[in-house]
Amino acid sequence: MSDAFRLAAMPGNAAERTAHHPGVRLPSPPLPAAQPATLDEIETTKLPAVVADGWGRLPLFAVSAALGSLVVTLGYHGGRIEAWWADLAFWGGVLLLFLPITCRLAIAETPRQERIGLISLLGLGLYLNKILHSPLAFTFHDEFAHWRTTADILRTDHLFGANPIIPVSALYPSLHVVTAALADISGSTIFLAGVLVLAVARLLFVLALFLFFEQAGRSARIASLATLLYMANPNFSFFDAQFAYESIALPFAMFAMYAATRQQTVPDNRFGLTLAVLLAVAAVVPAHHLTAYALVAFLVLWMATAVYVRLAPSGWTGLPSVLSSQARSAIEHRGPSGIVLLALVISLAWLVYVAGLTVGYLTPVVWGGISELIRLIAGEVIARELFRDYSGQLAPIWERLAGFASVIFILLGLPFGLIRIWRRYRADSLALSLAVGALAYPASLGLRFTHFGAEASNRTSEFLFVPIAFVLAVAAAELWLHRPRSLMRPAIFASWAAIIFAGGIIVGMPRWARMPGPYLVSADTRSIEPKGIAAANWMRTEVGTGNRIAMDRINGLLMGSLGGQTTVRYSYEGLGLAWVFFPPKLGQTEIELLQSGRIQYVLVDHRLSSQLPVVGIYYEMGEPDTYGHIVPMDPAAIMKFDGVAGIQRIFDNGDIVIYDVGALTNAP
Amino acid sequence: MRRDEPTGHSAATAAAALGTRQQSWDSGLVLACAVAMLAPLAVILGVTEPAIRLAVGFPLVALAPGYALMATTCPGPSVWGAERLALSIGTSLTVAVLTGLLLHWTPWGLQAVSWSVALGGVTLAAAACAILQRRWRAAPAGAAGTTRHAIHTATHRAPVLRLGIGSSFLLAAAALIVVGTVYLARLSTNSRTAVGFTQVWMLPAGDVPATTVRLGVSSHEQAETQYILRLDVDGSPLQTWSSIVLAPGQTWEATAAIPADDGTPMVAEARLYRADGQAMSDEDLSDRSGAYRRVMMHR
Repeated sequence: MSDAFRLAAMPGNAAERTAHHPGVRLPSPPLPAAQPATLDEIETTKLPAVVADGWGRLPLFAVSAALGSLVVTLGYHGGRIEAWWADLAFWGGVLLLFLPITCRLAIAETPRQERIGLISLLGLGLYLNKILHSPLAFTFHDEFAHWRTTADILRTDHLFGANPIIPVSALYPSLHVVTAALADISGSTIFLAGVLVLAVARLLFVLALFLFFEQAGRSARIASLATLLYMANPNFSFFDAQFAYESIALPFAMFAMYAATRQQTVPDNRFGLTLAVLLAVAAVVPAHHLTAYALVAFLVLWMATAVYVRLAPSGWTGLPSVLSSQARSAIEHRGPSGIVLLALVISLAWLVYVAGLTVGYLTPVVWGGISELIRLIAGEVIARELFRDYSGQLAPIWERLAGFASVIFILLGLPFGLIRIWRRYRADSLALSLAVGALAYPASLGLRFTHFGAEASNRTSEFLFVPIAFVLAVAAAELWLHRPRSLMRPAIFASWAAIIFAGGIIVGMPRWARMPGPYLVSADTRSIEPKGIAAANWMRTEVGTGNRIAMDRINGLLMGSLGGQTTVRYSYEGLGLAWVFFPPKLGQTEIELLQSGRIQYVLVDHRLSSQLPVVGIYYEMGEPDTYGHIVPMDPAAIMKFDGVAGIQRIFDNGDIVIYDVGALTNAP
Repeated sequence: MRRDEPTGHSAATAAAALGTRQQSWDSGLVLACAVAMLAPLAVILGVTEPAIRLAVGFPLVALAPGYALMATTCPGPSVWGAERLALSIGTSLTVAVLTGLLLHWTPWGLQAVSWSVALGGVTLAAAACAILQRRWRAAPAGAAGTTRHAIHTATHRAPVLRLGIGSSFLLAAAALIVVGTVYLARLSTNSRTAVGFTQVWMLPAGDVPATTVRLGVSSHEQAETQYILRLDVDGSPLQTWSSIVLAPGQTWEATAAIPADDGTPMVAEARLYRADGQAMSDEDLSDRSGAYRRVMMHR
């Protein structure tokens, strides 16, 4: 089938198609079969060798985006000095980056090349905002685990070392491998190499999103709007910009999906695109468990809808009758074919032969959330209060409103897009499977009210927003922004998108994590500060690496990464060492726990007795009063190791004290 | 070229209509080959200049292998611009992942040399295939040859999107703002260490049974600080270091002999006091509650 048929028959209006392919005059009805020009041939003929100022207004928007990042940085600085204007500057900068680009993308006349430039600019700008949050080192929770895996690769020259922070991290080494490659060849630090690798991965992600959506919607406008709306997912700005395996797995998965769709439309490049699919699938499986499974799930869904479309009765697809049977067949026979099997086999093989730990890692999170949701529905437990952290701080009213509005706006927009897809795209299994995928969004929201499932729910958004963004973009482009030369409608669209975007950031990253500021207890990035870093570095240089050490959640990150220690966690060894720290005196039970864990060193942080833990736990899940602390830790419980015979107080920096308990536990 | 060119052309006609000159070489491939050769050289010769290593290492990991692979496997005109960039990046990164998995199983593992040779080798091999393929396509062979030639030409027909002076100025301004922003962010983050602190430690010096301890003080204060360190054994002073002056970032270390193990319990306690220019009496130094930091060993 010629792409011109799809161009004409599938999406959008003639004006938009013409804007998408300037120089090509397509009639509103489908082209007659006598015009066999492919999309590629059209592009070939329409392009001059040199296009002066071919990037349109991109340079102007680059300046506004750069200014946006500058204002965001001022906001971060304001956060550090606790200035009243910090949030104002942060949001002002974010909107300065987001709004102008959104308005420009909403305008029908914006050419394709400029659209690609704009969404790349936005994607990289948002990534820059994350880097500006911590421009000297990785400070987000998961980043320490992945730093450790990368450091182990650089130290041992081999993969699959033991990672005490997140053991499965070492079993999914794609990010670490690429970072280690760059660090090895360039001689740079892990931080610099990681930042550069993720910058390239972010560019790949944005381009792959655009190109994939362009295949699904057959319109650069729908593609750019869908990519823009995808960036409104709660994890895009921060979580998926951190140095963690998902940040590279998502670009790989999207690259695989783009290549899988594109290879069916380019006969002259099919071999290369098939190779790209194979490489991407082979790289995404060892990159991240959930992303690989989400990719397989989507490919299975796509295959199922493709079969359904093929088996549907004649006339069901709603394709224009003017289309030839060949063209009709090409649309109706679009599907992922053998890639589903390939992805499934590689995923299962990796799980069985390499990453068996994954089952034990994911199961508690998933089942914990589901069982809590069931008990919540049964009225056995109380729902988690949204927008309130575990130290009792409630988000400002406007943030709560934006968070709720974001979800409501998405839910309101989905039906319009779904109906539109059903009416005009149901012949295309890819568009149809995206529509089906979007239906999972409302179901995922229920878990947000549970303590254990909230994170799981949040983590589904980066996957669910692929179909959601497409459905919303179709609705916006074809039902709201279809009138050319209208300025009011793009402005209203930009406001709507900005609320979804801002709400996404608020839902995905609470204020205490989003903004730098003074130290907070058990608050991940806000708890990373010089004292903890210095203690971890001291441990590495003065005591050596690989010692078994018991400590709180935050110092565990630092000791397990920068310190090179073996941090002992209940989750992975089933020891429940957190229970050692809460009683006011060191009794026989606590000593036996330390002995069973063969603990050599114990670290205590006196600051834990000053505040409630912001994330709900001081040490780890399963500790006394998990997610239910109502008073800070007893200072006596923290100081109980002092003066106990056989325990050496070997290190003190004011807040952090390290004890050698080897004599007590008979640890080597 | 006229923009209202008829659309129903074959690739050959279209390429001819474009009027683009056939290129006998591809500047992208030349650059990829250069990177593929320079990176292993830089590593093997031990070039330590970070900027040079990064300049050749970054494209070798993120762009060159994919560009060369796509040049040989994706030569058609339908893939160009952003799409070719995405394919080059995506293929490069995924090739790096798979190369790493393969290197893991080799005796030499993932080292700078093995990395640069492997990725450089993939790039050079793919580039060689691409060049041979293009020569073959460029060879006249009747009608088929014409089509091949047209495809080859069209492969290189991606338009150059030139920037005007105003646009260049704006992009340069944006780049400058970004550089300044990163600098400011780093400055702001560094200022967070405004609250200083000091670390003190006491460890066995290594002999068993321990008769010597290592003592250390490390200053992370904001200004030069004067300390006094006192070591007591079973409550009696054993040694005092009365004038330890450390600038921010400086470390002081010493060893001290403690009584040999005769089987009786013993407690050694080292207490650090901040002198801050004031003289401290023996009474002050005996006050445990006044200590700034303290460490303790039991035997």
